[in-house]
Amino acid sequence: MTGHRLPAGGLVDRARPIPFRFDGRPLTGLAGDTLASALLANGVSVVGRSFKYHRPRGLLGAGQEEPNALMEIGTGARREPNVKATTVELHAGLEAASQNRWPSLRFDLMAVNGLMKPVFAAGFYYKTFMWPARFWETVYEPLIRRAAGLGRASGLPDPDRDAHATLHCDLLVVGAGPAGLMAALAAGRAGARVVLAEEDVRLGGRLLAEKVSLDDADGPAFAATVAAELAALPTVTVLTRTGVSSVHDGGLWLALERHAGPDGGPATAGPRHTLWTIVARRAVAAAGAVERPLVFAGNDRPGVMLAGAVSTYLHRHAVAAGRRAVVATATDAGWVLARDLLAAGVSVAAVVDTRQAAPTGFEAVAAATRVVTGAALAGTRGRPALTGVDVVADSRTIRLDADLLAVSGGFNPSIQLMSHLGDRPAYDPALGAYRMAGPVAGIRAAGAANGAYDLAACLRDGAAAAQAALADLGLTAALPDLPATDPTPVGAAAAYWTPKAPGKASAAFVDLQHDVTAADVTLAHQEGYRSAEHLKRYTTLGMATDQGRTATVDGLAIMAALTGRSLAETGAPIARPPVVPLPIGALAGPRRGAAFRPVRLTPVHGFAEERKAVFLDSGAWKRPQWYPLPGETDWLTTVNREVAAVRAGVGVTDVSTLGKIEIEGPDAGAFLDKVYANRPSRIPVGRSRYGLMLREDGFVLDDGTVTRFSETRFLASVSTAHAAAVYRHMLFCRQVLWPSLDVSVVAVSDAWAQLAIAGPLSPAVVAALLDDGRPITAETFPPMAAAELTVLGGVKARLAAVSFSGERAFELAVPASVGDRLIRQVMAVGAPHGIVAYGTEAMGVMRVEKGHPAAAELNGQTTAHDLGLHRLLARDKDHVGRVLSARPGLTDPGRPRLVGLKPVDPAARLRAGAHVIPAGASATAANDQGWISSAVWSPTLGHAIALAFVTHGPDRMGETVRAWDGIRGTDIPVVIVPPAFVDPEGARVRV
Amino acid sequence: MSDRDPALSPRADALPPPGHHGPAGRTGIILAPAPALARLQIEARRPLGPDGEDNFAAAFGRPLPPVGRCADADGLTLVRLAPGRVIAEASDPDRLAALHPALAPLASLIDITDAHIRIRLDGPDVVDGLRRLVRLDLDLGAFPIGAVAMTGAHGVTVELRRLQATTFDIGYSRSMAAGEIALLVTLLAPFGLAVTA
Repeated sequence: MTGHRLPAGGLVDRARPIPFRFDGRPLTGLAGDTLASALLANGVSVVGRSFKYHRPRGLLGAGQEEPNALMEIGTGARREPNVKATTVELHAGLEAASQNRWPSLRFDLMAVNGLMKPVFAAGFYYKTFMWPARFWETVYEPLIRRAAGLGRASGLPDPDRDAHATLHCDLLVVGAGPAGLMAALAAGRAGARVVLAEEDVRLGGRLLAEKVSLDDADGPAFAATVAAELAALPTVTVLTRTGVSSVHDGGLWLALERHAGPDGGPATAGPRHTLWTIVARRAVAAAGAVERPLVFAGNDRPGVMLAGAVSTYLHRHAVAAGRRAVVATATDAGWVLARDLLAAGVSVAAVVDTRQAAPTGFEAVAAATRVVTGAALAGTRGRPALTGVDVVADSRTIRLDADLLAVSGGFNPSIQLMSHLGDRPAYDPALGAYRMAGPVAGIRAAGAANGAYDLAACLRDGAAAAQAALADLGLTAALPDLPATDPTPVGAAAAYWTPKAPGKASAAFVDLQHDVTAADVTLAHQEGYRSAEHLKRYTTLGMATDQGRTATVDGLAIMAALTGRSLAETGAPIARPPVVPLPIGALAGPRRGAAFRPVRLTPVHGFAEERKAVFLDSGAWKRPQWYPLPGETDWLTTVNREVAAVRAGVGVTDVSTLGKIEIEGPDAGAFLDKVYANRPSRIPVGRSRYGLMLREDGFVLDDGTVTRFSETRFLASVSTAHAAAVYRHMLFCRQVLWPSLDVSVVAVSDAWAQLAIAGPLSPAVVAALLDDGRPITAETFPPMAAAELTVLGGVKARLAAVSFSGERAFELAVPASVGDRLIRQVMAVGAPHGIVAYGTEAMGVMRVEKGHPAAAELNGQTTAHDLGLHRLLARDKDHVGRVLSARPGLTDPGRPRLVGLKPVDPAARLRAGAHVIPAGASATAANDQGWISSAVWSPTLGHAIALAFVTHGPDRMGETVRAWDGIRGTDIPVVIVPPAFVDPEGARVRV
Repeated sequence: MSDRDPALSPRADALPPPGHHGPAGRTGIILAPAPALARLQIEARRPLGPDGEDNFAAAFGRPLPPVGRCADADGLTLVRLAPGRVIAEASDPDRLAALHPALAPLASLIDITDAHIRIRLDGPDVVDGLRRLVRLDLDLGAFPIGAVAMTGAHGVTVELRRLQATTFDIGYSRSMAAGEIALLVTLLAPFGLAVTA
């Protein structure tokens, strides 16, 4: 053989060599290799350093069960840490790097941790790093942060995209080994909708890893024939490179598909992964079984591998994992491997069987190699990789030279997915393993996952499981004709570590990935952590990325022996999702970058963009905050200009984001009277009125305006921030509380574009917009008047004389599709009047100047009394919140109430969030008398102003207090004033 | 009802410009604006009992489709979203206005013409593409021709309607349409997406 590559056989393409690099070293593999098989073929024996003790480690397995070969794959932004080399398809240019070592894999300084094993035993962090206390943040935590962790994230933005997608099926089959193939075939031939998900790049499972014969075809050929038929069945979807990661309530499964480029490497065009949500009415879990290693001193030396993995590398990749092998086994599967190794020309130094006698049928193997029965492994030799194995039998120690030790301690059915819904596996003494007793929520285990290890039984079990699953759904599936196969030797005996085992317990590794030894399990028992769940958490056994596939049962067996209980009595922990690693990018899917969350644009967004508006995120909305003119570089300059322009002339702003709800029907008025605290039913047709809405608990939910267009038609305008909540509330009131009322509630927020035109010159601008040419004066269209009319030559519109700024103002709404046209027309007719576009910042300044409460004041914790709006609460009718709003706790005059604040020093700047403290008192919680809810610079007044909630505020006008801000470090004397700073009499709205 | 400017049908600005996205030489999906129609939301004002449902249906002057279905006849499409919620669509707004007299005693008729942006998807890969958008079962047996559903699409609600085996309309809230259609283009590009005017 060349290196470790066999000259013939395998499912690799010798005509397609593939160059790659490992730790900077150029190597070559073949098409069809995994990174792991290519490393083995090149004679690489050490692939990483262990998590805690930095011990050199080699490959143990050939799939997701691999605990040691965690690598960084790729470079730059595509570098991905903690990838199992056994799951990576080899492709040209692959860059792989070992982890958890410095400065190199060969020489790792952190291996000194191994000398501290007694200190770093299980649970050490509960007993150390406590004294002196001052060292925790300054010494211990920084050190632990540097030492902890595995692998390095790239730290760069992910250049790839991932997709989300959904499939529905009658039957999901997890795993495309022999059982899964038969299940999918039976169901697909019956016409059922089938999804077959296989983690590997091709279908076949163990058929690709063992030397088997099915009707004279070998495993790969048989798998290919079935795969071809499945591909042709119209109701079958086959997903390869797809690992099923979890199952959830309602038959929902998550599966991760890896997309590959033409060379087998990760896809760079299109999504890199697709996270599938599979909605399956029934499922067959045919994920196979994982081989158990043997636990003995020195079992973590590079060169110790699972027998099944050696078989996979041999048959699938034509790689001999060593040149001289010892097979140590408690199962017949070990003997099968020995037979195959000999047939491939690999030297087998011995077969060491823990059982007292060799199984029948392997006489030829026994004749070709040394056989030691009734044996136990005592240790291994070699540095860093294996050079010898020590075996104890008949009280003698036998030293064997070998560079490969293939171990087989038994098999664990892969049932992790089935325990995601809370069911625990039970120990089956006949099988010698944990398994699910029966179907779980419509999921049936099949094949090796169901304890059927014989190939014929596996095939039959898969077909039967599909047939039973479809029968649940009222569908009939015939069992396919099964191929003839040779019986699979399935004999096995328990072979767990015991305290009597030779060698040191601290050198017998149970969980290779987390460096948990038999000594740690013994310590856990000593310290009282004896249940399966405590053992797991105290020692971290089974908590690594391999989820304890090769560790948990061995650990439980040790604990069972120590406690004198059976494995059945000890129980097993529940596996939790995900079963296969999920990149965070796959979970995020397409919602990233600009698409991270939905964005809402108003109908006049284009206009604002053209004018270089600076936008604010207001929930999902993009709202223009201000419109800087060329040369304006300071936002305050822009905002002050906009405020001054509106107060002196006219401005237009986009208020399309306001919620708009149509309430229609003979009982519309009665309905609104129940929802609002005041009485909308008394609004005359053609008028608007301010409305106050309470929650059931008496606190304020929202304010806004209600406009009446006819006897039976109202429009509620609600604040942007509360639009959805108010609509939901109204629907609840209509559907649940008063379903007999003859009324409908329909949200039309997106159907209308709405502009506010404000300022003393606004009547002239509005008049110029109307088709009917009506004059707009204080008499013909007074404040709070409303009308339906037309603009823009026949476009329907709604006009209401409502003001948020304190100036004469109007809100004009048109169908959203003409909103852009309207605002340009407004600017055109307003140009002679010096109209300006203004944003939310200027709007905010003006409403604070006017003392109007907004979101900062209606924060869900304030009442009508707090806001000074208690006179709106109708006393002669019932409405939501009426009773609880009258609670003494909500009406207590000692509650903080809305006032205005102005600084004693006109140059001082006030900030929202500052606390109100009496003059001369210390800034303590006991002296806290309120807070500033809104603060702005008022260009109208030439100083800062604020709205605040102050205890007994309305009774303290003129008093000087302090605005204390402990975060920003300011303490500013302020005077309590009424909240309306500008035009408190309200004359300006009546021009 | 006839005051909308047909030159400003509700697709302006929300659709990307015409072009091709994704693998060259492959067009699995065509995205185009859906025909501009006047739309009315007809909302029964009281819960419908057995008699109420008959009266409601009778007021339309023709059979109502079942919930989750739409039906076309005489230039009028009725989309039944709920027992008491019907969307009526027509290219002639007067056709919708004619519904008022019979329905007004039972229901509210609200113009929602401008509330949504609607697009049409067509092509052999439409179903595979839509699997990346919505979680519905899009098998013809589960979502047949004429089916309609309000459903989630990556966190926003859309109206999905099947017109033919591989032809769907999607309605987005107007304010969200630009961003969500841009996301849709990204999702469908791997199938070869042609955007047409």
